[in-house]
Amino acid sequence: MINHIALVDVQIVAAILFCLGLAVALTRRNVFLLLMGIELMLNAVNLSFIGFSRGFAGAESLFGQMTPIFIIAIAASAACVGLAMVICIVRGRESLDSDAFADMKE
Amino acid sequence: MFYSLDAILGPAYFWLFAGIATLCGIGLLLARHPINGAIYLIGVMLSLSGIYALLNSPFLAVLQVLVYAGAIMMLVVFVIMVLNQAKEHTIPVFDWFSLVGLMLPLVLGAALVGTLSTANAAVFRTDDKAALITSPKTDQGTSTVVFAAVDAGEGASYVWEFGDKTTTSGRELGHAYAQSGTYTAKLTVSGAKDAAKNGSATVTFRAVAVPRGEIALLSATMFDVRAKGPGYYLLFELVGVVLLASVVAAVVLAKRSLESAPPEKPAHQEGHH
Repeated sequence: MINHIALVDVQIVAAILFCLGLAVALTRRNVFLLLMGIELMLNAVNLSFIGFSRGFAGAESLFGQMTPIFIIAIAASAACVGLAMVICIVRGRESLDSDAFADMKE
Repeated sequence: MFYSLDAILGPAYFWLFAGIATLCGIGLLLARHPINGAIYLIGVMLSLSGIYALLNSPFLAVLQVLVYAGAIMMLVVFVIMVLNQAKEHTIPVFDWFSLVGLMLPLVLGAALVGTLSTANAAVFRTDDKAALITSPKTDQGTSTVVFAAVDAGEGASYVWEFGDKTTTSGRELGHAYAQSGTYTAKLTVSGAKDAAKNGSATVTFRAVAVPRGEIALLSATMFDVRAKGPGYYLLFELVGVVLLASVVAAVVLAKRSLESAPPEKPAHQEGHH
């Protein structure tokens, strides 16, 4: 039965993944890797929600599974907008270094 | 103690997927080229979808592969290839600020994992109906009802009478009812060192038998190894592996054709102000 996975273990894995995503978003200078770090953090939050939702029975479990559906939809649109912005900026700057995007005057 | 095949396989699959996800996450942190990072991120997302399936969320598992590993990552890989430029190699992977920035996730991670590993699992349980039983609730909407007893300490043994003339022992276990209806399950705890924790309790709830072949949002029907065998689960993972392989193949082919393309004109390094 699926129920032998401890709830705390799921939260530990989610915490590790969130911190890896945060590390990627904070330390990497390539814009694509920065966006991927944000995606990884969102995924870790989803895992945390689903891990908690399993601790509840029946209809209550549904609430924990609805939030990840919203997060997935928002992450998809965020990725689209983010990548479109990257394309627009890179056309003018010819660089993928996030330091090159520091001033948004133009 | 009650052991079944999936009692061992469940945690084994979980730790396998968790290990792959963590390794791919570290790979993403250290990746030199964003294409490699994208492949590592697909690895994370596929393993996460496997974990979702193990956690009784097959719908989200499928959604994870469709939306994340499919749509978003194909978009990312596509954009990276459109913008593939040789001078990406001039961007340092890490700089001095990165090493300072790395401190925050490290401290946060150590604090989170430290707190969680000392936390009592019972904190996350729903309130008990009868002091001994933490689940099920009355409106159990799935075919497999999850039974869990409050931890009565060392030496305790737990015997469940499911109400359909079957009996099993174990603190946490699942039981599939063949027919929908209202059942009264009885838990008997004995042998606990703390005598106050011995005793018996009953819980009455409604179990819904989901017919085979029907995929409910909340049920484990699709990936229920006991009911269906591992076929669906393996098929699902196979689809994921095929998707990953196609992405890798597309990347390899595209990089090869890009390398044979004529070099681009040198770009001016500074943006115009």
